[in-house]
Amino acid sequence: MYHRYLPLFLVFLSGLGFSIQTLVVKLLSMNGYEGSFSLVLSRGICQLVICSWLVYIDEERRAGKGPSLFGDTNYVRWMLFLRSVIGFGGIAFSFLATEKLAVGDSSTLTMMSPIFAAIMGIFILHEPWRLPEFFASIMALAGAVLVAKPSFLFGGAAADEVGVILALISAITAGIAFICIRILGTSAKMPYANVRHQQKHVISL
Amino acid sequence: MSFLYNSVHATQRRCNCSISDSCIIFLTYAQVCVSQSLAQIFLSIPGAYIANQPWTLNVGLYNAVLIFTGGFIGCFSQIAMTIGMQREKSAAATAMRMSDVFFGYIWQILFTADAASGTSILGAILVISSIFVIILFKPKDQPAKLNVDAKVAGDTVNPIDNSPNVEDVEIELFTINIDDDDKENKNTANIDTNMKHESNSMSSMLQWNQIIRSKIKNILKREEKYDELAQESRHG
Repeated sequence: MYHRYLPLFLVFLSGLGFSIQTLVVKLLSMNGYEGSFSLVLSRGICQLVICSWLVYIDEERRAGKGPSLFGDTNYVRWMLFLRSVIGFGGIAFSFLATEKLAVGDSSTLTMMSPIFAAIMGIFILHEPWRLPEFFASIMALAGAVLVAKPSFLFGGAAADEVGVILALISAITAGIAFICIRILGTSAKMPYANVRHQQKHVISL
Repeated sequence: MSFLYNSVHATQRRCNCSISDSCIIFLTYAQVCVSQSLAQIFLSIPGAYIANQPWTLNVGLYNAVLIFTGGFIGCFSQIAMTIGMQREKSAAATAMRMSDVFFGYIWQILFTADAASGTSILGAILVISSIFVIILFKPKDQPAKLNVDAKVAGDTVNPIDNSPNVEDVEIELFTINIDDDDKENKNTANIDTNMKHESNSMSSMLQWNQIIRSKIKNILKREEKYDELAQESRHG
């Protein structure tokens, strides 16, 4: 039970964290400082320090048995490069959109990414497209339209057009980044000791 | 969409790899995050110039604190999301990520001057509802399931003398996935094993061939047994 929902809980926590981060962008903007890219740089430095430490303390890597830092094959390196560059695009466009839209509206439009991720997941990862996911995506899409309030439906109450476009670009790039993450996490990681253990059994046969 | 599909699959062809359970890709979340952080650091500088944003250290204490706090929280969120997304099916995980929307409106009302209109709130409710649709209809654990994917050395032969090909003797991949839905302890055992062995000796190659074939037979027998156990547990 715990293990089943732990990944979902982590993603939920990340949602909370990202919403606070969006608020920070808005607060900076309200303070007269357009600091989207400063925040991206700050986040990159924090992430580099923490994750480099995590990579450093990894016992498997210290024993020289894990994969190299950027993967062992060109395919992995390509996917990692794609994920990193596209992920940066998602963050940057999201922050730029937040400067022009309200925090909630920006978050909602950026959250169109599950729809793009799910659609691309069907074609790229061959993931199943079940009925609940279909209805959930339709509901999310309807919700996003209500938030963006396009002028052809709501008249003059539309949100900032540039902000909406930036948020949608962010959603598309974030969807692609999710797919890259899924590809990089397709295979389960197996501790090297277990592999050796299994090899020993096979040899003993 | 077709561009993306073609790009990814062209990369796979170039790198002699495919997206499937038998594609050996395993990076830790920390490695993925390190790569992403480098992209953020190196691309944010030209990005600031393109967006015509100020690039100075003299931002004031308030802004500096905000930038550092936002960066740290974003980093934590990124790590949490990467771990979560690697272990959860994309649609469900990305739906949970939409909690961002709910909190976004809370912060908007509490900390900014922007009013949250009725249609926006309704839209947010629809978006949040879609999260619950996915969670409530999340598929339950599958009963006993076992997949075997093995490529055995010696399956290919030399076209000249019909002898087993010894130049690339490689027991390439051997993957076992067992989801044991036992009624007593509900333990789920996932065993993914990659065994790689290279040999240039004909005898050892044939020996490995026999070993792997017998191992596959044993696994198939176990699969039948697991099916029986699963049936018993469901009816018991």
